[in-house]
Amino acid sequence: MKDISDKLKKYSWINIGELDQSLNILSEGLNEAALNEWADIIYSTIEGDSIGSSQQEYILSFISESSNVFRSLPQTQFIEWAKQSNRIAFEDGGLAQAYVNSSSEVLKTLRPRHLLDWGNLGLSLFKSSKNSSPLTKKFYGLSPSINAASSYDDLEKLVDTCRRISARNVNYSLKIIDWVYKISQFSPNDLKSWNEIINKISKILIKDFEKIFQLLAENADLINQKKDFMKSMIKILDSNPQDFHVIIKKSIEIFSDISSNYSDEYEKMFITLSSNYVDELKGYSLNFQSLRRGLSKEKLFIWFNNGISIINSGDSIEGYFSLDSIESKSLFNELTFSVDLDVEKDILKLYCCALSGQDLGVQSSNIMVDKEIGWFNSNLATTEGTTIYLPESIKKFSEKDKNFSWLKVIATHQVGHVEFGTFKLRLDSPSSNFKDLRSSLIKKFEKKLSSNATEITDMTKFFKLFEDAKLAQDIFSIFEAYRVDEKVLKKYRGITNSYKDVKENALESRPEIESLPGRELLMESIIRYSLSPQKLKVPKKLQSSLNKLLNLLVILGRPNSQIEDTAEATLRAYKILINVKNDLQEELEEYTFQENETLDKFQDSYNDLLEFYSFSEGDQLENQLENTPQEVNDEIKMDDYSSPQEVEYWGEFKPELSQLMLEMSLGEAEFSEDGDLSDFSTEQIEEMLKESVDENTDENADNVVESEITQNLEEALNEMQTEKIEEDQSKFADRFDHFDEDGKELEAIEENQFLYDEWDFRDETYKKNWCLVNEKKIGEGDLQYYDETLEKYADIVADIKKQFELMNPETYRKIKRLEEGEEQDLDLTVEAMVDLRAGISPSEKLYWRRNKVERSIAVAFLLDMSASTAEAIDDTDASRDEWSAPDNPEKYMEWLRKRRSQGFRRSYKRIVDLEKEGLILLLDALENLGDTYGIFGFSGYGRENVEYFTIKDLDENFSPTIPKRIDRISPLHATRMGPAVRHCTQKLLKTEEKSKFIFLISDGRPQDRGYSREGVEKEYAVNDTKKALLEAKHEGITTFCLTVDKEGHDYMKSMMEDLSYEVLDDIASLPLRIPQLYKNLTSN
Amino acid sequence: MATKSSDSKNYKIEDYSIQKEPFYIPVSDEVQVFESAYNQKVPILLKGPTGTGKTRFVEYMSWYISNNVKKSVPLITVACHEDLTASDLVGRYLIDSAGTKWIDGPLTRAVKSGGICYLDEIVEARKDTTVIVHPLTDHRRILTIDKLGEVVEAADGFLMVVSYNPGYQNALKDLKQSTRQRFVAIEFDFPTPELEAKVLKEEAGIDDSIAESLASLGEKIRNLTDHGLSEAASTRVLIYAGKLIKDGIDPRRACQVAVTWGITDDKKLYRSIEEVISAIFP
Repeated sequence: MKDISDKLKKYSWINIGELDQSLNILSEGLNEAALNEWADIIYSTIEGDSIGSSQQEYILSFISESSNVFRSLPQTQFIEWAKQSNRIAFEDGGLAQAYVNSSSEVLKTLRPRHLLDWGNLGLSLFKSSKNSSPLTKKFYGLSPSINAASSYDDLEKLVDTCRRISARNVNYSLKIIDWVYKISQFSPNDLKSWNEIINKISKILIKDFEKIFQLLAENADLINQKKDFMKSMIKILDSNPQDFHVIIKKSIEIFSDISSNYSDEYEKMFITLSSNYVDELKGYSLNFQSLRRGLSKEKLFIWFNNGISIINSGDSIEGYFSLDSIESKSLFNELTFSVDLDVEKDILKLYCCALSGQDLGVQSSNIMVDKEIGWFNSNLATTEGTTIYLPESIKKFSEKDKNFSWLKVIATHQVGHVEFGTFKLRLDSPSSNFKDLRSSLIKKFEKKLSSNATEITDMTKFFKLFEDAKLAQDIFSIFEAYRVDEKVLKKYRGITNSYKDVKENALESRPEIESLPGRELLMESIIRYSLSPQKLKVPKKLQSSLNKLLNLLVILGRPNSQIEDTAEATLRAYKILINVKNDLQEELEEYTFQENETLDKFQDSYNDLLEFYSFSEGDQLENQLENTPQEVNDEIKMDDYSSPQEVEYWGEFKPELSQLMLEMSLGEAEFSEDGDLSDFSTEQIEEMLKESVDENTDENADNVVESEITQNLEEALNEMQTEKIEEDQSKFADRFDHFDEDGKELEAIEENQFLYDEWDFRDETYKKNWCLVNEKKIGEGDLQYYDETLEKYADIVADIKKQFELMNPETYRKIKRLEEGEEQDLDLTVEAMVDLRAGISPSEKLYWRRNKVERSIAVAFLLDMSASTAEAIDDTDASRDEWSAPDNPEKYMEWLRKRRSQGFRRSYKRIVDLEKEGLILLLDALENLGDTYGIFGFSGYGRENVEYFTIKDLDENFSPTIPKRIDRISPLHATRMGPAVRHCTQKLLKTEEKSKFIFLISDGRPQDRGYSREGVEKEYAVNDTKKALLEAKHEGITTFCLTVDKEGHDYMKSMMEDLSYEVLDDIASLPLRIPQLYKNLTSN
Repeated sequence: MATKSSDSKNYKIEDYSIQKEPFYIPVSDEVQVFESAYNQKVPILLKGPTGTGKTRFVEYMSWYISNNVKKSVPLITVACHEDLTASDLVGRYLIDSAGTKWIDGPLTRAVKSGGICYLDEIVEARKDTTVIVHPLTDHRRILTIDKLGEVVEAADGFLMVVSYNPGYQNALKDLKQSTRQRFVAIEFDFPTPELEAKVLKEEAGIDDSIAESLASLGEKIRNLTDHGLSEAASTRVLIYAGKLIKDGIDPRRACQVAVTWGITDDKKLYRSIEEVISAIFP
């Protein structure tokens, strides 16, 4: 050791200190021989004639680094390492220095057995081209970092890549190493994939390497975010390298197009294709942008999945994804031409509301069918009087405009039913054009069946008049459709052309009239005539009947005709038709309708009609018992009759069910003397309807008779009514058990407790210190809900924000008459000068200033957190895809049962969730606006425990904890509104804002244990709340109450009196309505 | 009294009165109420949405009363805006060659001449202006002009009429109770389609069927006020549409420019209204 040291000391450039240090460390582990071997390496380098500076540098590094490397290597490997460095130094000193310097660092992650290979990698790189010394140095220098991010294999691959590139351009290799190093630093996880990609490119696409590499390097950040996409890139390189550049270039273009939000879809499809159908990728990526412009996301997937299914079925799909194949093109066209309800829903809703003057909803027919309450065809339009149900997608025509016209026409027809009162049929109101039969018939009829009369609606009663209800309904449907059409055409002249097209279209698909038996032939003729007045073909013997029938039809086309006229006409037409034998007709003759029979002629037969109906109904039972041959014949014929083919644009018409549901929703239908239908919730009714439908459909799904459904329903209702009354009585005894609380005043003990009086409307006094409000902070949940909501409503959030921002400029205005300001006001100055000359002391307020007038608003949102907000609501958006019904009746029934069993497990949304969504939507916008606002929730149980939760206090700033608290809002106990409002008022009064608001969001009437007098008076709670709101008003606070309780109109009216409130019919619109109302309430 | 320069006629404020009978169809007993109020010197508040005929009604009544009392009653209309100050109403000193000169404002002129002073959209005016009308609208019927140090007692025929458009659920722009309780209120609303059709026919000079269609359009659009439309289509815009149709513009286009574009910027509403228009007009 001493020898070595002495021997080397003669070289002045060797740092003796370092040398000794290294020797000390090495001598501890190396035996004498090994140490000498080590020293020999140094000698062999420096003992030459002249030693270059790079060699010197190498030796210096070698000496100082040896100790470091030695620590991580066994003796023999250490010597091997030292020898290799010498070999490298023989090639290039600088290179060896780089090798030595990196060694200890690279050993941290590289296995010792790879150390020599690593050195050789560098050497092979060095030898691959001229001037590769800087490249190899860089390789050694950056190896530790690169290896740390991946493995030795990657180093090998990288060198492989670089050797190939160096053969063409060494400088480019330098770039690559730099770039790979960068990846290892910033995105180490992607290094492996990238390394493989560039390696493959260098193998296969060496010609275009620079171009491709440039593209990838520039967009690496973007691609790094898409791991699956990277994997797909490798697949493309394996199978279709020639397309690689084009595909990637296009993909990057699509990804970086921020304005389109389709990149996720693109990526998904891209990955699907790349896994199996790489050949199609090029066409797909090249055509994606035109696809995107033409199709909605949903449709894009339809188109895409169709392609995949073609592939799966084994057919050739060449050109499908590049929109070249006929199949692909036609589907694309169909998808772009079709009109989707989803897109047009909002417009149509407003359109329907405007036409009818009622708050009609617009929904997909699927939803009605899914309710399973008697509607079956999701391709037809229909309505039950409060909502218009329309087919999900219209693709009848190959032009978008035509499809939309069609949709508009069928919507207008359904609205026509609402606007022109189809479901308002009353048996006792007079018709305009007929001598009324109905009321007298019903009277007779009721007498006979009074013992078990269960009919609820007039419509049901009406159809009970007929023996063959099916025929009667068919007649009624055609007549009513015609009446509505005529009304629509008279009132809405603009739609005439579209209507004409639709009617013509309907005519084209009518069945051959020749093959129809008598009664059906007549029905078909009426339909044809109602679609378009025309020459008809009828056998001679039926001509006079048809003439009468058409005459009835034409009467319905008069401007003054009402639904009652349709009913009267049905009564008359039924008598004519039931007497026509339904047998095949031989010779048809051309016939032209003549409107010659006057109304009087029908009135002549009034008594006949009266008699006809009394006979058929009154003696029905006896007739059946007697079974005379004649009667039997008739019955067989009756069974033979089948309803005419539907007219598509008329939709699915269910007058009985519709009137029933409509009246229930209006709470009009009187049930019996004991109560009314409004005691039942719509859900209950729908459930019962379902059962009724099931009973009928189990036998034969194809042949559901509406009246049977209603009949069943009525019976069920009757039973339930009785049960309900009993239940109600017991419930009163139980739930509202009034225990007199001795009128004791409560005391506030803790700091967060507050006492409030309660108003007793009977005594007209306040009960002193009656309620104890406990103010609590709500716990914190997580942010997920908040984020999800914002994402779900992303477009709307932006919209709300925009609208709220628009409110801002209004607050900037010029303020005049100031003692100091930006500038003098000319008018005022002139005025002052004039005053001076006139000898009056002039005003000193001559300046104006553009000032931001502070919106001085404080608002408290008061949220109902009562248990009832846990009530589930229909989330119609959910999982619609699974809802396509099979056409085959048997399968349909199976599907139906399956659906129903699933139905109960479906996840659902609660009212409280909607309240929360609304708040979240508002939060963002409110923050922009700068209004002071607080969010509070209330619930509780009993007067001594009114819970008042602070979600955000009025003086609290917005922070991420607020959304977390919102997350924790959940249904709790009862609703004692009065004290909550009072407490809220007190809080607001402490703020300094000029305008103060309470925004109350609730789901029903206030109620709580003991929130009543003598236990039963609902008014007590309502009156106390009213009083509390009035108190707030007297303090100058504006209150607004939003409720989602459908039955809210009655008590809200008395509770809010002249205060503003809104009853929201469509619960689902709650989140959107809250910001809207807020804006209306507080803007100028 | 009117001086004529080229085509337009200039009147002094207090000389202007309605000479020709304005077209007005009474909806209920508003004419009698107004007349009685005029006789009893009770100020009147006209309430109702824009374009329902408030201004026309005042014109009509001014003519009607002039006719009754066989003497022309001046009608002085002031459109209120947010910078309208008290001196804009009462008057001010102006400089001229001879020094300063006091000029009466429109309100002072009305008070002196005994005319009907109609303050349109009173809520728009600054709060201090509404206060100066207070002494004029109670039993005192006086106007204090502090700059002159004078008090003017209103002439016999003087009547204050203000109009006011109660904003939908808006708490910030409201008339103060102390102001509104000085008036008898006559409420205006949109007429029935039949009546409106008559008005349209007369005002725009269009035929029955177009007038009916327009009225029906108005009714339909008003159905949308609960669905995000802040102000319903007024009779006035329907008249404009009618006038354009009369002059040969395609009905759909006329409604678009006169009605749709005017009443909303909301795209959804916009398209819905377009659909209604295209359903009504061929």
